[in-house]
Amino acid sequence: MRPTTKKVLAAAGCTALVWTAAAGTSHAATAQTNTTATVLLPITITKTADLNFGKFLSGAAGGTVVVSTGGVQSVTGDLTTTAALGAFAAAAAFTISGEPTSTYAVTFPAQTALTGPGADMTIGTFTTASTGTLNTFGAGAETLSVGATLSVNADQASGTYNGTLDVAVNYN
Amino acid sequence: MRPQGLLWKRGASFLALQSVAAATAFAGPTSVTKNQDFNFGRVIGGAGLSGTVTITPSGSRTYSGSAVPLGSAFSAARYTITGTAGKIYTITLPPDFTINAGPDQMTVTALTSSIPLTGAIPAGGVLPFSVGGTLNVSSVQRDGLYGGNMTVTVK
Repeated sequence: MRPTTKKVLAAAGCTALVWTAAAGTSHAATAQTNTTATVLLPITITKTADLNFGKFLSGAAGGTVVVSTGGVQSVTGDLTTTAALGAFAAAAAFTISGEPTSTYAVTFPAQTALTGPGADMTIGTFTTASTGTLNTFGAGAETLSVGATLSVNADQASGTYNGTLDVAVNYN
Repeated sequence: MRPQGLLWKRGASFLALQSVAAATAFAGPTSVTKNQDFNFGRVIGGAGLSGTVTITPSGSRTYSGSAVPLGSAFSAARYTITGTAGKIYTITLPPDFTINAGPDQMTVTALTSSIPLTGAIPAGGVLPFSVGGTLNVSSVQRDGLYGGNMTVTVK
């Protein structure tokens, strides 16, 4: 005889031992960051003298008139001049100031025209000089002098010629 | 002889004991390292000129107002988060802070991050990010080299 079997509901359930990784409380990490900025004084510029090529005699072939940063006039080509005529020449002058020890650049327009009774004459080849260290600001104001070369046409008509010149001084 | 009253089946165990081994130990702490300091560079300001200079987290610089920045030596702040891949990070930036030159100061505001302030550390466990902000220059700002500390927190 087959023994009767009873199903005994064996508790198949078990206790599963499980443990989860606890996130825990993280400590906050910090990073210190050195932050810097340099403030520079704005540049100031004030004109104190206009550029003047002085007086000269034109010639059949034209030429150039040069005014040095020291205000000394000289001519080339077919032009002639005298000490008395040249005495009217003057370099442009500006009082400038900016952040001490910072360097600056002086810039001029590509071409400036002088207009008058005859054909326009053009100015170029600018030169600069400073009572301080040129292109580096000192502790106080300094004088920037500007010279240039004027191109005179053949048989330039006599008279007074004028123009406006923008001189810019910027940090570089 | 087979036990009475019990269903005995070959191969079956009537008491199962299971154990689960934890696959992950405690997650390591998240850390942050600074790789690059925060530098706004040179700014022409004060003596009537004022405005703001902004460095973006990607490292470009713009300005508004009359305080004009110059030169190319400037940088966003840069950092690296290191931690367990998949773990959530949270970056905390200060709302603002000051930098000083003696008694004079400027405020840096609107700090921004190149990545979301909270997210998951990627596979590899390394997450670089950068921080930008806005420098406020007043019309009476004195010239000089200003410096100060910014604290960035990462959990």
